[in-house]
Formats: sequence, C-alpha cells, structure tokens
Amino acid sequence: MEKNRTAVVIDDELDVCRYIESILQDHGFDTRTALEARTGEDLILHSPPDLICIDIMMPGRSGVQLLSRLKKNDTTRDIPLIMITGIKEKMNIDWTEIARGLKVRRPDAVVEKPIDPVRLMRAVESSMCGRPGAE
Amino acid sequence: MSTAMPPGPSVERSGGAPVRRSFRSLLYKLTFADKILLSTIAILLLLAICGALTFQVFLRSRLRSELAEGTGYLAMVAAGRAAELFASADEEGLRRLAAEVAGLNAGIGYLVIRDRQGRVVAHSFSWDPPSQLDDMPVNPLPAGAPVVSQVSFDGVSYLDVVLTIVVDGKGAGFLELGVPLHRANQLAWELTLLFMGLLSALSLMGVIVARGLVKYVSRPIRELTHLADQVSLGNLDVDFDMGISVRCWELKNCRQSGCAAYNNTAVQCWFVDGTPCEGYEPRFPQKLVGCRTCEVYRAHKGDEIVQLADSFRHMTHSLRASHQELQRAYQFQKSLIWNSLGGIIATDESDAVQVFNAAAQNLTGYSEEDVVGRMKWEQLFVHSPSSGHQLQVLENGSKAMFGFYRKEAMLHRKGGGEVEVLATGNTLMDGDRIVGKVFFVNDLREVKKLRLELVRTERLAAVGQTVSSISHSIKNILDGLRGGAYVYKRGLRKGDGSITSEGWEMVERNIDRISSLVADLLNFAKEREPDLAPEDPNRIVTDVVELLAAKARASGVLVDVDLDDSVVPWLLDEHGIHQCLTNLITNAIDAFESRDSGHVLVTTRVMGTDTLCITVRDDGPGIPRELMSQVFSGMVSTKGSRGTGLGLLVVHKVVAEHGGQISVEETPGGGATFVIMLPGNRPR
Repeated sequence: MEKNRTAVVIDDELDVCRYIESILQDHGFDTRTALEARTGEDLILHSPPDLICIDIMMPGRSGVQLLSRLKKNDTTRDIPLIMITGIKEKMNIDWTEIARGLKVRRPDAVVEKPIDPVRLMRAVESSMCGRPGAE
Repeated sequence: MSTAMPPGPSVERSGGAPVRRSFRSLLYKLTFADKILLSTIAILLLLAICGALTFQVFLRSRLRSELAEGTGYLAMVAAGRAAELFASADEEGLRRLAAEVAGLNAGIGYLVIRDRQGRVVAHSFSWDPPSQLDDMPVNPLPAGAPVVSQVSFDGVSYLDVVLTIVVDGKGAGFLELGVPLHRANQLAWELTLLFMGLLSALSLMGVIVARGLVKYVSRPIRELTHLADQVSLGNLDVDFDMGISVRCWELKNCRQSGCAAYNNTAVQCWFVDGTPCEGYEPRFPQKLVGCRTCEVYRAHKGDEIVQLADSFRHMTHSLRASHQELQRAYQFQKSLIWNSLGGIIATDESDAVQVFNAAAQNLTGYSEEDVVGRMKWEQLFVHSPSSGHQLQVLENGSKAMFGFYRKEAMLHRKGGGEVEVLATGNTLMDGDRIVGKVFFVNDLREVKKLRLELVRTERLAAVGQTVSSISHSIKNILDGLRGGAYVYKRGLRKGDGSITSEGWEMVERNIDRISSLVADLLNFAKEREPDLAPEDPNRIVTDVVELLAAKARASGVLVDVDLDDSVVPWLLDEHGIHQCLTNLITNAIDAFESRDSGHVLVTTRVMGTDTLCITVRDDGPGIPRELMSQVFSGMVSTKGSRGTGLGLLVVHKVVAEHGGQISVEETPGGGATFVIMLPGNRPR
C-alpha cells in the first residue's frame, strides 16, 4: 500500500486549521496541525512533512518569520510551502521582493482567504509537482 | 544751702519769643516784592539816620575848630594890647580893654584878665566872674599857645580860650576869652536837618525805583508760581517765554535736522539727550556740566530766575513726555485686556468687580455697566461644591493668599443659565498689600465641542485603520463557516456522526464570533450620549464575571473579584461599562489560551472623593512593551487573526464618554493590568 503524503498545517485559527486539514485529508494527506509558529516548527523539524501550509498572521512568531527559518534550514528548504493569507489580497504582495529581503527562496504557492478547496488543491499540486513523493 | 524753687511762669525769660514768632510769621506772610521793598526802605532809613548823625558830628567838630581858631586869633590880639597895658600897669586900661573886646561882637561871651597869681584884674562881666572860670591852667603856661576848653555856667556852654600875656618875654598874666557855643550848635542842627531832608528825598526816590525793580524781578516768579499751580492741577500743556531765548541751531547756523534739539522750541538744547555736541556727553545730566562752557548756554544764560524757569520748562516737558508715555502704556494694556480672547475679571480689595472685558461680557451677557462697581466676583460664579472654583487659600508666610489654577467652573449668564469655563484666579498685590483679585476665564463650550469632534474624528480614523484587521477577522470567520460546512458535509459523506457534529460546532462557533464582532462594531460606531444613571459598580462587575464564568472555566482560568464595600452608586452607563468589562475580562481569559491555567483579578476602589477605579489584572503573557502605547489605537491585537483590536477601542470609547481615562501597565511578575479611572460621582 502506498504511503500517504504528509502535511503540517499551522494557523492560529483552530477552525481554519480544521478546514484545511479536512481538505488535505480528502486528498490523501496525513495531517498534523499547530496553532502557533513555534510549535509548528517543532513538528516540522521533528518529522519533515511533504507539504507545509502556514498562515501569515499569527500571534508570537509570524508566518513570514517561520518561512524565513524554514527556507534557511537545509532539512526543510525544499519542502513545498504554501502561505495562507487573509490580508489585502488586492495589494499584490510581492513575494519575490520579500524573499529577496529575507535572502531566502519565495514560497512555492500563496493561497488567499477565504479558502476555496479547489484553488487550495491546485496550489498544492502545482507546488508539489516534480517533487519527491509527488503523485 | 540751696532751695528748690517752684517753676514759676517764665513770662519774663521767654517774653521775647512770641514777639519774635509773630514777627517771623509776619515776615513769612509778606510777598517776595514786599520783602525786598521793606528791606530797601529799612536800609535807606538806616543810611539816612547814620548819615545825618555822622554829618552832624562832623559839622559840629568843624564849626568848633573854626570857632576855636577865630577866638584864639582875637585872644592873641587882645593879649598883645593887654601886655602893653600890663607894662604900664594901667589897670583902668585893662578894664576898658575887657569891656571893649566883650562889646565887639554879640558872639563874644566874656573876657577875663588875670595877673600872674591868677587874680582877676579886669573882666567884662557885670558882676563877679563865675567860679567855673577860677580853675586856672597850671603855671607856667607855655607862651603863645592857647588852651582851649569848654565851660558851662548859667545854662550856657562856652568855648574858653586862655592865653598867656607876655611882657618882656615873661608871663605877666592871663587873658581868658569865652564865646558861647549855642549858635554854632544851632547852625549844626539846621544844617543837619537840611541834610536829612535831602537824604529822605533821595530815599523816597530810591524806594520808588526799588519798587519798580522788585515788580520787574518778581514777575517771572509770580508767573512760575502760577504755572506750577497749573501743573499741580494736571494741566501739563503750559508754556511760557522768559523773553530772550537763544536757540543753538540759530546761533550756530546749524542745519542738522536729524538732531533732537533742532527746531525744538520746547526746551533748551542742553536739556535734550543725544545732541551731537562735540566733547560733551550725549545725556543730559552728564553733559550739563560741559554745556555750561558752551557759547549757546552762555549766550542764553540769564539770572537765577531765568535758569529756574528753564529748569521748570524742562521739568514740565519731561513730565509731559512721561505722562504721555504712561497714557500710551495704559491705553496699550487696557486694549490688551479689553481685546483678550479670554475673559478677564478683576476686583478691588473689597471684591467689587472693576475690570470686566469684552470676552467676559460675551461669555456672561452682562455689560460693563451691569457689573463694574455693582457686583462682586462671587455673584458671577455659580456656587456649587462641584463647580470646581472653590477658594483655595494658599499659605504664604503669614499672608493668606487666594488663587487657583485652571479649574472648571460655571459663570452665571444674564437672564438665567450658566456657561462652563476654565478659570484661573489669583491675588493682585502691590508690594505686600493685597489690592484685589483677578480671574481669567475661557469658554469651555467650544473646547468641549471640539473635543467631541476630535473623539469622533479619531474614531473614524480608527475605523479606517481597523478595516483591514476587521476584514481579516471576517475572512477568518468566513473560513471557519466554510470549514464547518465542509467538515459537516464530509461527515455526511462519510456517514461519520462525530465529523458531522464537529462541523456543526465549527459553524456555531463562528456564528457567535460574527455576533460578537457585530456587537463591538455597533458599540464602537454608535454615536450616542452615555445613558448615565446611578449604578452600583460592584454589581456590574459581579454580573460580568458570572456571565464569563463558563468561558473562564473552559479555558482553565480563575476569575476573582476584590470589591470595595465603600463604593457608592456611581453615575454610569451600565451597558457601556458592562461591555468594557466583558471585553477586558474576555481578553484576559483569551490570553491564557495556550496555557493550562491562569488568574484574573477584577477590583473596584474609590480614590480620594471623586474617582472610581476599576482594574482588570491577569498574570498571562502580557502585552509586548512596544505595543503598550498603541493598544487603544485600534490596530493592535495580540490575538493574531482572531483579534480585531476593536474590543479595546470600544473600552476606550466608553471610558472617554464617561470623561474617564484608561491605561495599561505590566503586572508585576508578568501579565497585563488595565486600569479604568472614572471621574466625579456627580450629576453631569
């Protein structure tokens, strides 16, 4: 039997976590969740998943800080990473610029809230395309 | 042994003093002209008397010596004749000689011829010669030298001349000739009287001249006195001309029109500061010393009265300038007070209002006539223990001083009504003496209106600022709802009841969140006056804590209260305060979300007499220092995507509507403490 792909979802909103988790589970992911960046980072480092979903706006360490740490870490650098954002979708956040400023690679995909399951899964597939473990 | 005498009336000793005093007083009352005139008359009179007496003494002396000389000559001629008769021992001849000489002239009084022993040989008397003539000169007499003396008998004085009769070089006898002096004396008196008459006429002429002179001299003094009276009566526009005035620019043909003395006819140049006189100090007191050698000064300089007049003119001029300066300063200050935007009310020492400027009139509707001199300041201010203008007596040494600074007070308006002002009061001092009080009052109505406007504007700005965080929050709720629906459908699809329930719970939770958000939004955006009523703050606290008890228990948080029993019913908007406490305590409970347990303490306290203090303290993670100052600005939430920042904004708004203040500080040992201070338990 083919081993399920794994994903870590980090969002301070329990309900949003649960939502994303359900969508991913429906698409064959084993999921783990964390309500804050620090716990999530521990989960990832403890057992690197195949996919990481991070909310940008969180209390304590923010999603962007976590992005920076994960993309600088050799173990986690290549894991597909999706940023979930609820802020100002019309502001066209330039992730390339942010990544250049942080001196890291940009996130593999960005999904805006409200979360649409189809759009989310399209982003998941596109970011995992050609990666080890991809379908 | 001395006996103490009782002090008797000292009339005799001090008898001259009252006379002297009345004489002095008489002299004091005389005018300057009279004094000079009187002095002149006295001097002339004295001169006339002295002159006459001297003249008489001189005249008598001259007449007497003239008489002595003439008598001596006659005696010598008679002595020559008598010597011949002595030689011939002709006694009869001697008697004839005596009668002949005595009968020569009515001016000859007598002739007596004596022999060597002094016996009378012949004489011209009808009877025996008087005994006064017996006192003969001592022998031997020097030959040819007459002895002149004065003899009186029978009430007549005579000039008596005695001559030795020389026969053959030897003294044979004496010849004594006497002429009466009364005619010479009479002549002397007549001449003296003539002289005195002459002197009197001259004196009279002198008095007439002196009188004219005195009138001339005292005229400027009279004029100066009159002018001084005018100045003392306040008329500073007096001017006068002493006759001759030399002007520097005319004398020196000067054309320096920039000089302060140029064309200045009011005062002489040496009284003017800053004239470009070479070698002299530019200022009056210093340069006057140098000016005395200047040709202009010397050309102008008159007698002491002219100098006095010049000084008086300068003094009047300076006084006029000072008076004008004072007037200008007074007008300036009056205009400042009058045009001040703030009301100014000043009283005298009896608290009666003396200054009531335009702003004060606008504020109160009273006119200056209504108030000045008619009202006391206390009648203008509303008396109420809460009006805030109560007297404050500040101890300053031994003096009780009145004063207060920037207190909210109420002023009565004419015709009823009150106006809210911000007042400052102070004591007016003149040295150590209290001369009145002054009040500066500013209209608070506009300020309060502006303050409300500002609160509204700030709130609108805050709304703008929080739109993004609210929209974020809404998106999260939407995601929660979508997630709930998704999970619910998934449960249905899988036929798993537990998943269905989980999905439904998610939906319900997010519906609650929408309700709460909408409530906060409405609370914040609502434009309304707080509905104040006397409420028990302790009861509101207890209600909120009971309502949130379930939530607290679910989060493992213990909420305690520490209520002040002395808290009296306070004027509060119950709904607003309820919302405030709900938000603060909910925030505190939410802060423990990632912990197992926590403690929240809500306290009420009355501070002083008019401040209610409610604190909500937790020992949670606290607020990062950099956010402390921004927690009430609407952009700040420590709850990440769950927080809108609206809750604290609502708290801030409600507290501000109560006229209170809210602050946040770090709880010692960790956590956050919110402190609400609500002012005055008084009717608003």
